[in-house]
Amino acid sequence: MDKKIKFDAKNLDLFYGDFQALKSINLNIYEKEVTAFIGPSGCGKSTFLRCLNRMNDLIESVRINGEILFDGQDINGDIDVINLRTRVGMVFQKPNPFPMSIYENIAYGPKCQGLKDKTKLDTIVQESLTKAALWEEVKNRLNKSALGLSGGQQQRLCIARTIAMQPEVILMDEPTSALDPIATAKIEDLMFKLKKDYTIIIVTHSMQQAGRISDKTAFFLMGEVVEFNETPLIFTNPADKRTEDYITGRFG
Amino acid sequence: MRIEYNKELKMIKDEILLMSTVTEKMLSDSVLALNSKDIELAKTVIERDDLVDAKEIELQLIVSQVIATQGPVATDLRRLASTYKIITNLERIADLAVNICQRVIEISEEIYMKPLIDIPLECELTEKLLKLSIQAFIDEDISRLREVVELEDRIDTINETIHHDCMSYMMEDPKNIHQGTVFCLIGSDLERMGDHATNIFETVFYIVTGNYIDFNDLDEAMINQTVEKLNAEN
Repeated sequence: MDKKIKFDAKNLDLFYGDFQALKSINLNIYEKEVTAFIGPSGCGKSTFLRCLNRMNDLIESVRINGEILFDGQDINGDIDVINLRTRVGMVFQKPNPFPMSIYENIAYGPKCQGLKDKTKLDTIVQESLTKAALWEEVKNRLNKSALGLSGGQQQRLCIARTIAMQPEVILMDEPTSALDPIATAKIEDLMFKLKKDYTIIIVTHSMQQAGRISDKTAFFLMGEVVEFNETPLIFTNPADKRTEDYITGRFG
Repeated sequence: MRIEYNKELKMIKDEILLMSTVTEKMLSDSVLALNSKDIELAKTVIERDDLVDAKEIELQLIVSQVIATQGPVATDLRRLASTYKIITNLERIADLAVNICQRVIEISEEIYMKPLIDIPLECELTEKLLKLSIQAFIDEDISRLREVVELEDRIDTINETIHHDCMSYMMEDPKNIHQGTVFCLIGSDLERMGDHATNIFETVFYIVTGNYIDFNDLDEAMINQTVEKLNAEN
């Protein structure tokens, strides 16, 4: 069965002032898959990721041409950005828990949306932490500060915090680059579980990670998508020589 | 970029070339020993098999280490994963050369029931096929695809002729049965060697294109199409 297209980027250009960071990007992101963006630093992959929930709005000089359709609706058109960012959550490179308790970190988003019912909040906290594979480790210290968790736990907490908002898509910008291999493996295992319910898009500098976890991979270079295909194909038989040179480490 | 890695890849290729050189010589010497009833030469071929076996194990270990430490992908991955297949095929060819030499020793005291014509020819073609496949691996060039398919066909035909001829001799005189059977087995050993050499070329085809094709399934139209495609890409 054909998967549904979640994001459909059409001829997307992005400029930081005079500098064109993205050039005519055409890319389909499919629902409930993991899509990895790879490419050298400055190639535009994080910029494109941030387009998907309009995080680039926060940068003044940014100008965008073209369209990004999210479930068929242009996200750069007249839409509720807060609602978009609820539906398209984000996890960053460094874990960034709020300086409050583990419980409050998760309950914060739903509370901001006006949820006050303690029982419902308790359920959301437990469910989110369980989905993020953290519940067993923290269930006895929910009221302790989140800053006391290890780096890997903090990152899973951030994922739980995203999940608490019941998003449809989770964007991850190098989510394991600050973590050790064991914490990385836990996050990767978690991504496998999460893709049953969520569409996941990850920017990673680790070729092996892209190979291990993603269904599809897009190779970005100098603001363009050079190649986008099934991950096993990209890593065994890339169509473009530039992709081959990059993934085999002979780029430059 | 990746100087050490490239050195390792080149070293593996050099070692495979060495292994194939020894194997090729075992192949030609086995039939030479048959022709000249040279038991001493046959024995040296049997001894050389240890070298090939050791090289196969050594290469398996090296390739596993490179895969583990360098995380190869794309053509590098196909190249390294294919090494396992290539060295296994070479090792099997060496084993078959040993088979032939054991048979040579077995019948060396006998007067041959007929002059040997087809077996040396089959050997020559098999050797040519093996050299061609190894050269294709070294150069990563599969443009001689048609020659490979033709050589394999010719080897098959000669093997059939050998069986047919020997059968006639055996029916003519039951005393020929033992020697006739040995010649048939040698013909089949050479034919198997040809298959292994073709397997090597098929593996090179995979390294270069990323696709596997069974050369037994190739018809004239498919060969033309593949060759045209290769020419267009070059």
